[in-house]
Amino acid sequence: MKYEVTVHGTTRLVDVDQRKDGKFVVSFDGATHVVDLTHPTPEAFQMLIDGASWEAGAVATEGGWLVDVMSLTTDVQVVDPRRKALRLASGTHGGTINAQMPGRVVRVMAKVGDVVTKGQPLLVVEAMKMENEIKTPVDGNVAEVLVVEGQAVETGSKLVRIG
Amino acid sequence: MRAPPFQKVLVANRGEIAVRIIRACHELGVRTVAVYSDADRHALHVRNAGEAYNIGPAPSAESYLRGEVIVEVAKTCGAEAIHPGYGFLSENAAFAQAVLDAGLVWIGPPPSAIDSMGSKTGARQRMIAAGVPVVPGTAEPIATEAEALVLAKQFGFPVMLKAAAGGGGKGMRRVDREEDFSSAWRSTRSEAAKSFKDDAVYLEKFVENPKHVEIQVLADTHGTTVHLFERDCSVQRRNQKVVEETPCPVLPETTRQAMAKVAVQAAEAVGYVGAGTCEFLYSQASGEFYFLEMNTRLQVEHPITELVTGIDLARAQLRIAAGEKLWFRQEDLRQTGHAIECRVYAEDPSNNFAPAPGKITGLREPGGPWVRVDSGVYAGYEVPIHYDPMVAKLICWGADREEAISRSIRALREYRVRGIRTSIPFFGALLRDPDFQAGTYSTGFLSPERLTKLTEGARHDEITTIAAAIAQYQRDHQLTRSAAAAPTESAWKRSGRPGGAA
Repeated sequence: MKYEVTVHGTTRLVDVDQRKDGKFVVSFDGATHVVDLTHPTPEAFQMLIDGASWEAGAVATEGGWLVDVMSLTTDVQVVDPRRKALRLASGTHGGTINAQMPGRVVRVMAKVGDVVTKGQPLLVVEAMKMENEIKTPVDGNVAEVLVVEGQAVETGSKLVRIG
Repeated sequence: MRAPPFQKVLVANRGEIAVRIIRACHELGVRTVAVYSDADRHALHVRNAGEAYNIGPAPSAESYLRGEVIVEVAKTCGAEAIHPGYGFLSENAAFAQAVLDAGLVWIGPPPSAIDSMGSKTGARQRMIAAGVPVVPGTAEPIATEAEALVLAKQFGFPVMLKAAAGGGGKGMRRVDREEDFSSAWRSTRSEAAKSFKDDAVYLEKFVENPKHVEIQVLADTHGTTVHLFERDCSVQRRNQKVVEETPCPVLPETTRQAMAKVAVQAAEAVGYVGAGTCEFLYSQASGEFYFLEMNTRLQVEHPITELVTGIDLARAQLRIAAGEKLWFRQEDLRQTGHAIECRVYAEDPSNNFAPAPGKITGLREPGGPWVRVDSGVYAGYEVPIHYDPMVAKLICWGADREEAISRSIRALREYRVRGIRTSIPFFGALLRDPDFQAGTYSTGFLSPERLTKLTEGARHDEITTIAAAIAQYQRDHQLTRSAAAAPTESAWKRSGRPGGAA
């Protein structure tokens, strides 16, 4: 199988296969790795990668996996190139800013129709006693404000749509 | 065995510090009472305590900050004393007084000492009067934004806005430019009102590149005050301590002694009792130090002092509150070896350290020689959104600084948290940083550039890529993980089981 795997903005074409002895062969960036894999607990990936012992965890997300290695959790996008066209056609969240964490909206600065520039704060969400400014990652117009002050939000809640 | 200092103590806190105090109580033969909010029925302090009582809804203002409810619980369940931990009501003189008025013992300094030192502005005035050097700033809260801006320009930017009732980095903001002043002023006041029920704010000149060094003191009710040396808490992010160590790697012995003397004098001046900490800014360039504030409670980072002095500060607090005389003298105290603490925050290092509450699906804490984990969480625990993001502390001791650093790095390598994002992966890179290792770092150490570098240094992109690709392959081929994992039974194992019985 070939996958496009994106980690921290870098996309690699990765070839994965399983040998008859159960070991995985994973190739990318011109190198091939033999991986002996066990799951000491269902979510744990205990890997001997060319003999080196590594442990990871992987939880499925929409469009990929949440992978942790040495307690660092990374959002990884995995695309099967054959299904890529399909995925692109199915629409994206482009333009909508979602909450990165659960919390409470304490201030909304953005109003519908506002012209905003990249990095401009739109609203403030409070979680764990910290106020966090949510900034627009793009230039544009505020098309929709989907929350009000005082509202509780969950991770992934839609906050503001930029047109 | 010595008679317990109390029969029963109520711990008016949550998280790792409540667990820490409960441990001290149990070691002394004291029974414990936990209090908890609706969000904390499953919390570790409730599970570890002898008794536990609900005190209200999740928001702190409706539970952990409701002193009258806590005092009522203590009276009803027959607790003799209340330990406030840190944060919440620990530096609230009115609460301390209410505890005393209810005929209970307050495990902390007298309300008058909290009053004198708890307000940073009050403490400044006292120190100025006593001739102790302080950083240029206003000694009193400022009434209006316009007034504050005039002063800020007079001191020159950068300046610090500080909540008078704040502490632990909460309610503080550095302002670099005049055009940022207005929004910083409003945010600091609203955060102060929310966190401390007091929106008084004062202003200070920001001293460039200082070290944050603090002195631990301990005073009994019989007029004896001792110090337990210093802690270097200069590794900070957003004015929140991240890593602390003792001894301070660059402090000359004469300065250590001078600073400690000032701390003891400050404590004596306000009739201090129990454990307290005087914080100083120390300039490596000039060798000068400035008094910042006194924290009239146990500090988050108290364990590193415990590891180098052998004095259990939480137990000492209990014994002192029961009226016991200090059982050691200043000259008996030594700093032995070196200790480092890494604060584990539920924050995402790769997303600008945004709070990352959630469910801990997997947890493996480090162990082995001279490794201590003070934690408020466990596998399966859901970290709530309502409270401070610090969930645990890793504290390591070494015979010298190099050993303490390498032991910490080793322990961090073992420390696995799954399900929530934490600052753990970031510490390994931090402790390897040449400027950290040199020991000369200042409070500006964690600049945005260094944060980015250290965060990237914690990445294992290739391993992450391999794990994700295999996970996807397993799903696409509908391999169950147990099937994929089924190890081929070895002939050794088979032969080791006579008769091949399953």
